[in-house]
Amino acid sequence: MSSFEFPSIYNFPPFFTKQPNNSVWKSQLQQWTTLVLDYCKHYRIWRLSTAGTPIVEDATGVPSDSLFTNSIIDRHLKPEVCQEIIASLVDQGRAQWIDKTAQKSVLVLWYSISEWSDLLLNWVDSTGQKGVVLTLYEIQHGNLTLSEEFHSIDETTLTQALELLEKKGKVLMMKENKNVVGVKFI
Amino acid sequence: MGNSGSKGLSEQDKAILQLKLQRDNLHKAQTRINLVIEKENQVARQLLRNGQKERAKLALRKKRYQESLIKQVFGQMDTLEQLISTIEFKLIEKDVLYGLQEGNKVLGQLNNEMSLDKVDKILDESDEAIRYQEEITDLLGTRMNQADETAVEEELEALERETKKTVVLPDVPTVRVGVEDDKETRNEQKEDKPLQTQKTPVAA
Repeated sequence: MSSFEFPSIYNFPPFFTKQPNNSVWKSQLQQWTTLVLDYCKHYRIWRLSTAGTPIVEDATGVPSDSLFTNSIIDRHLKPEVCQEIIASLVDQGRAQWIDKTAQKSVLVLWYSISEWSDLLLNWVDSTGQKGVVLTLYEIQHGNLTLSEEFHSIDETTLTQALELLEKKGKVLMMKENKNVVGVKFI
Repeated sequence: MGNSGSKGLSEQDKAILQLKLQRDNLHKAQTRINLVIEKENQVARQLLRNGQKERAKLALRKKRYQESLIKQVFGQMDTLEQLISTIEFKLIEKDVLYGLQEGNKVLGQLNNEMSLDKVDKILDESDEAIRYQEEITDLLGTRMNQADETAVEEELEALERETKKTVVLPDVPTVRVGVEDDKETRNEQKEDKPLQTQKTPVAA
């Protein structure tokens, strides 16, 4: 996997300090949130801690250090600023708290749930799999999805996208012990 | 597909789901075994570097065992995949058969609406209409004949007038012939000019 190309502002020391001027801070916050989303999309990071470290099961090719630390210029964001950036992502609908009370990590949505559901629908159409029973596993890890954006997608994100499609009447859910194990697109 | 869609999830769907879940489990097992094989490979290399040949051999034996396991997994995967494909294709065949059945029903209904009595009646009406048309054609034919006769008489009168006019013609041609002679002489003069022009470039 190729290395993520950071924007030039990432090497600008003041970028790692919350600016006192309110309008400057808003701009800074927007740039940080954009950076987080682009970074996670590049490395296909589905979960991120508030410290900025990826939460991955198999860490092949994904950097393990914090996104909020730049060792080249020896700068890092303070924990409370990190928290504000992550909270801003949640407010924008680009992230979800994994545990709302603890607020220590988030599900990163570089595509929204609605966009994921559209991508799934298009894939099923283009592969001629309407009316076919599909398991969540084959959607996540199957050969047919290798070139799709949602290959290796987090199960929680996938389930939410499918639930959205279910409400629209596009999908029938197959459950075992209240867990979704399969779907059928109709 | 519309048939199965309207019913929602069928027993066949649930059966296919179970088979696919088993296939997924085998796929996961495959992934795990591959990791173990790779790990044993690395262990063997490390042991050889440390000069522990017997332990390296042991690690390689474990690796071969894992490889034999993965062959079994592949075999089972193939069997499951074939079974899944067969069932899915049977469902397609079932839909095709259903389509044929519905087609036959519709065809039967249409045939019922077209009874033989109706067909005979329509053909009889058609024959009557044809005969009626022929009578009309005959009547129109007679009238047309009368019209043709009057037209022929008019043409005769016209021809008679033209024959009278032709008597006057002999006087006119003498003047016309003279005009044509003048044109011919002019053409000859025109022909001479290009010959002269052709000679001058030869001199050059």
